Amino acid sequence: MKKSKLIIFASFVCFSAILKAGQEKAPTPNEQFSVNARIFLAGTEAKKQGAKGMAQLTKKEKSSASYLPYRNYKLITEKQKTTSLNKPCEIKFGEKSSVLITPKRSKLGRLKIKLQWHLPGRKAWEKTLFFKKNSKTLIGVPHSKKLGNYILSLEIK
Amino acid sequence: MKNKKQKITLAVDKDEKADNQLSDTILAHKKISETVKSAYQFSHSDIKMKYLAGRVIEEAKSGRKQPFFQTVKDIWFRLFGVHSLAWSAALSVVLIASFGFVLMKKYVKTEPKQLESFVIFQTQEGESVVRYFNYRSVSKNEKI
Repeated sequence: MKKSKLIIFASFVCFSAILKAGQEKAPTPNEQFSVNARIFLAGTEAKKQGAKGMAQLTKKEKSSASYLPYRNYKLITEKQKTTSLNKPCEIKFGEKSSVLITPKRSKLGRLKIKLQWHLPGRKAWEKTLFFKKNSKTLIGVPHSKKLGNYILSLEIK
Repeated sequence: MKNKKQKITLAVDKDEKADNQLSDTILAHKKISETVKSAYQFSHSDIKMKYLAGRVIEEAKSGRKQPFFQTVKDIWFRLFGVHSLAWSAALSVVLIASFGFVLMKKYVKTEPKQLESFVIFQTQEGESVVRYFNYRSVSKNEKI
């Protein structure tokens, strides 16, 4: 009887310790994130609009863009916003198009982010992705013939 | 089934009685003879043939035209030997629905549920990594 009581007590102590540790590691809800989003039009459509080559890309973006089949990039919009956990940050581009960036979780320099695309005449598209803080990431926008090839360059600090 | 058999036997009886009673004008009616002929051409069973012939003669005697559903039933009867009106109606619905489904698949463009895209990120060593993923379409009722 004594042994079983001891085991129950020990497991309770362990469980409460684990819970406390988890609470300590959880990010504060007021943690602020600086979102730097640049949206590019890529391919022949960018060339038609007068943008030739990768002149409008930064050095980091250029190295990442070398993996893509496009050779012409035109900067459509560039926005810098601050947001917090579970608070969507909206970036509008093109005609009635927008992207909602919602940070979901932040842990050990890694971010879990939900991207939601709202494109004209189409359903909304969404995806949850993991990002590394302070690094440039290129993301493909849901492609449509009307919209063209858009690319989102995202950096979250 | 019993009712059907009774109906068929009745029709056959009527057919036999009517053979004697039918006037020359009815027999000379082109439409009737043609339908009877076609009924004989399509079906191979004697009972089926007599059933159809009985129906035609009955119609000629009463002087009424075949109702629409009866015509549909006859078509199914001649093609597949379906006696029941309910079965023939059900088969018609299935046929029309499958035809509509094939047409819809061919001509109605539906958006895919998943859309392929890419993400390029840099590792700690500075190398770029490309990953492919699928976007998920969000339905209208779903909260965004």
